[in-house]
Amino acid sequence: MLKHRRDRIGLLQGTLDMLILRTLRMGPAHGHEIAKHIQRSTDDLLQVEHGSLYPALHRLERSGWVTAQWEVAKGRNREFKFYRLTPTGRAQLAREGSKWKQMTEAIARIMWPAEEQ
Amino acid sequence: MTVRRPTRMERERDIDREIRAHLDLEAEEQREIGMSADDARRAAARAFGNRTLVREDLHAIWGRPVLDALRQDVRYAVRMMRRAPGFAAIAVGSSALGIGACSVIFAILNFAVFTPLPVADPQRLMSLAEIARRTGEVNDFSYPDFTDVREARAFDGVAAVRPLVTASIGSDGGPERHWGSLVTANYFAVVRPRFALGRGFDPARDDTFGAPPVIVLNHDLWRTRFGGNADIVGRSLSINSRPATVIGVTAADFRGTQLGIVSEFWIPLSMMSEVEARTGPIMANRHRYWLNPVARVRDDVDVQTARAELDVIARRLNATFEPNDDRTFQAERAGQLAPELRRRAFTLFAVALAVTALVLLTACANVANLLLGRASARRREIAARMALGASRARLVRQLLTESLLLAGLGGMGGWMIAAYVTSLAGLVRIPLGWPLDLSFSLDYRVLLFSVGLSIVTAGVFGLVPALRATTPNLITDLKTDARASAGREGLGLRNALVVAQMAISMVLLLCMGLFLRSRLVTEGMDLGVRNHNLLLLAFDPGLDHRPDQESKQLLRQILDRAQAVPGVESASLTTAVPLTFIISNSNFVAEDRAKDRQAPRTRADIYAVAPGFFDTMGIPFLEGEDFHIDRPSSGGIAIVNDAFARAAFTNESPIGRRILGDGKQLEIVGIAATAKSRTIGEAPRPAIYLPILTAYAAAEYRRGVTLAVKTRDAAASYAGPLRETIRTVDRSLAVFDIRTMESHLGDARIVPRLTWALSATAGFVGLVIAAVGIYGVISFAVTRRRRELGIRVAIGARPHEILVMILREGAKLALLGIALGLSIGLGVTRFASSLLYGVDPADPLTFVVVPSILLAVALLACLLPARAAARVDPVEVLRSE
Repeated sequence: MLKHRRDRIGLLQGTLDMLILRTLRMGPAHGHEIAKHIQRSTDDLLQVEHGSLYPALHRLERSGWVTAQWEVAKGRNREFKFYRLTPTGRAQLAREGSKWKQMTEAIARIMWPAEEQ
Repeated sequence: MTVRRPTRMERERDIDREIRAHLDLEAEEQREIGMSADDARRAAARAFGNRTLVREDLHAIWGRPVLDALRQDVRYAVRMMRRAPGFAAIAVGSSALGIGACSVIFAILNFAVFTPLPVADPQRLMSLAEIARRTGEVNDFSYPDFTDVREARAFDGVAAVRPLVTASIGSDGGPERHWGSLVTANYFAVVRPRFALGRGFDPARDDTFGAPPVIVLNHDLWRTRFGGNADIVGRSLSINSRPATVIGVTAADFRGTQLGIVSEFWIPLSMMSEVEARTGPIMANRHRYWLNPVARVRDDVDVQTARAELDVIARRLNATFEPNDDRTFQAERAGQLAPELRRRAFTLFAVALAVTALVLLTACANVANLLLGRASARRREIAARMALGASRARLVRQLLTESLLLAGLGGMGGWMIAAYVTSLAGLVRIPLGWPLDLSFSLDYRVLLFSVGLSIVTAGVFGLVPALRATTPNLITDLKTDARASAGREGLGLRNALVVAQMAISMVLLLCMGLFLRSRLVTEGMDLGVRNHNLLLLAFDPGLDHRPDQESKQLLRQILDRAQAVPGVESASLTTAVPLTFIISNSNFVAEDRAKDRQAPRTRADIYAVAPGFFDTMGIPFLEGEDFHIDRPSSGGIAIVNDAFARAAFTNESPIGRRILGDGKQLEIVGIAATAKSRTIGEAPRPAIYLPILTAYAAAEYRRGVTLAVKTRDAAASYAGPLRETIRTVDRSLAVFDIRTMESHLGDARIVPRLTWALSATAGFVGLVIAAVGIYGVISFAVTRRRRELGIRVAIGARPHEILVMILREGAKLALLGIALGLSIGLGVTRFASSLLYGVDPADPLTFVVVPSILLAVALLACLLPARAAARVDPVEVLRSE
């Protein structure tokens, strides 16, 4: 079940793209899988409105960072649109990841300077 | 590998499929943890969020956003129009009528006021006139004054035009008569029009008398007479039977520098004797005004400086040459109306434009009303779409697209109407004789005007409803419906608008009724001349340098031959055909009273006619005797009409009396009935008839001679044989203005015909707009009151009672408007009395019949919504509310 509304965190602008790319690094996935994965791996802490996933996915596809293809899912008799990371997407993820890491470290240093000592 | 870009449809299917797959999976998961199927689906949808917004976002990512949105809007608009074709037809139709009318008026204004001459640097080209300071009279220039002005240093060059000269120009098909201009040889160098072929005159050579004769043709003449052959330049033509070399053809748009007058050819002033019957000492005479100068202001001089220099010259001339010490020179942009006329034309057209725009505006208001009614009806749809996440800007844009589409179609329709009307303008013939330039065509300025007007129209009838429709209160609109929020606001304004429309329509229809009566009266009016089986053919014996004696011989021969043509009952000749706008005239006085300067002079139109004129024309002969072919008098005799006799001799018999006038001494030998001489509306106008066979002189009758032939049957079929008859007498004669008397009289009725056509159009437009207006308001009221009507029916009102109730409401508005229109009409139609023939401006029949028609139409327009109201089903209404 979903956690109580108050505890959930809205997504920061631009982070969704990174989360999607990160998810896809583990292998091709369709939209629902990606949504579930993000929810599950953050313990439902990050609130992703499922609908908002798709514009992000399509934007990534348009940028050439992922490709999409309709394929039959394993163990099911139905086609889903599977997204795959491309080499440029992989590079983009690396760039975004390190930028993000620098930023969180910087913020952490300001917020909790004592722990840093 | 190149991948084909998926179509919009494919993309849409792909997106839907992907979203559906997601929702199905999510629902499945929810079911697995124990939800019912319905709950699971709802939970999945909730988790997904705003599906419409996502879909629009996805399209936005892939599409070309502006283009896609536009395409979508247009498609939607077309769909809405298809769903309400009647509404679309009304909106498109009324804006087309309004825009068309405005465009036509603007085209005329554009032609008369705005369009510059098609020459290089037109704003530096000035047209000069001489003005008598004391009387304000505008004159042409004398040749000596022109040569003095030519010295002005402010100008690059000053040329002069003698417009409206005629010449017979020969080609393989025989000679034809044309209207052209005599110009100084520097004319084309000063005016600088473009040339289709060749060049203009050479100022150095062509100005000298006796230089080899040359001619420049205009584009139309070149096309129609010489087949547009490029080898025309260098060819020799016969002009009045003498050779001249064509040296150039002007470009198609150049018709000369005199507004409204077409010059078909130009010849240098040095060839004046080729086209002017009397030249004499005119070049040296400072009191003969016959030239229109055009001057080009130097690049480094402004117009004010040029005018100042002209003033200096005028003052010097006034000081030097008595008795004219009163002249001033006026310089105005060439090819435009004279300033005082321009101001008047501008005011006239501005008023006409304002009135038409007002009509268009009320038409727009109608459409806006209908749109508003529809917007109210569509409130739920719009509220629903906004709730689903469509942005307001997007919706306004969409509604505006709809009205832009309507107005755009209206604009196209209006443009077509304007094109049709301006093409008709070329067909208007005014019995003046010379070719009038009524070529107000639709150029880019008019196009810009129409397009702008369409956009404004769309804005006026689209924006307000669009803004109002998209500021709904979501809650109330979704819960209830239009009824609650439409309210009563604006209703008073709406009713006032309809009353005003009715009143305007009433005035327009009254004018239409009066002009219709006037037209019927003039069609049946006895003009005092024969209408049927009469053929007119003109020729000009004065053109080919014929001595007058020879011309008289020629006239006699033509008359004899024409009378011998089988089927011809009688034939005669005249220098003027009754009902021509301009006829030469002079003052006459009885000889025994001539010494008395106080004795009244009688101004009379002068006709030189052959024997048999009155019989052929069907003008009754009252007293005395006609001219006789076998008894050539010693000159000096005349026949007068009844009006002349009354004016000059009151109760005495004029027969045998002698009169003086026009440089002649004449004895009156007969009296004819008074026919209309110039216009159908004129009071009996004195006329005097001279014997053409003895009195003809080329210098006096420069409009040529008309052979009038009374035929046994349909006159038109005699045109060919009679033209040949004239040509067999002399091959060099050009025959022109061949027409039946019926068509000539038709042209003479141009005023009642034109006023009728214009007022009928205006009346029709007004009627349509008034009908649409009252229909819109009443049907809006009915939609708004559905609930009330339903309750009325539920508590026992019968359908016909509802019908009568609604009709009564419409009738109240209509009658108010009609009463208002009648009182305005009584005031306004008085101003039209000068255009009405034999009809009282307060004609009782018109003032009774026309309002009844308008009332009937208004009630008919109300009948549709009234019947809809009468059919209201109370059960359905009350349930849906």
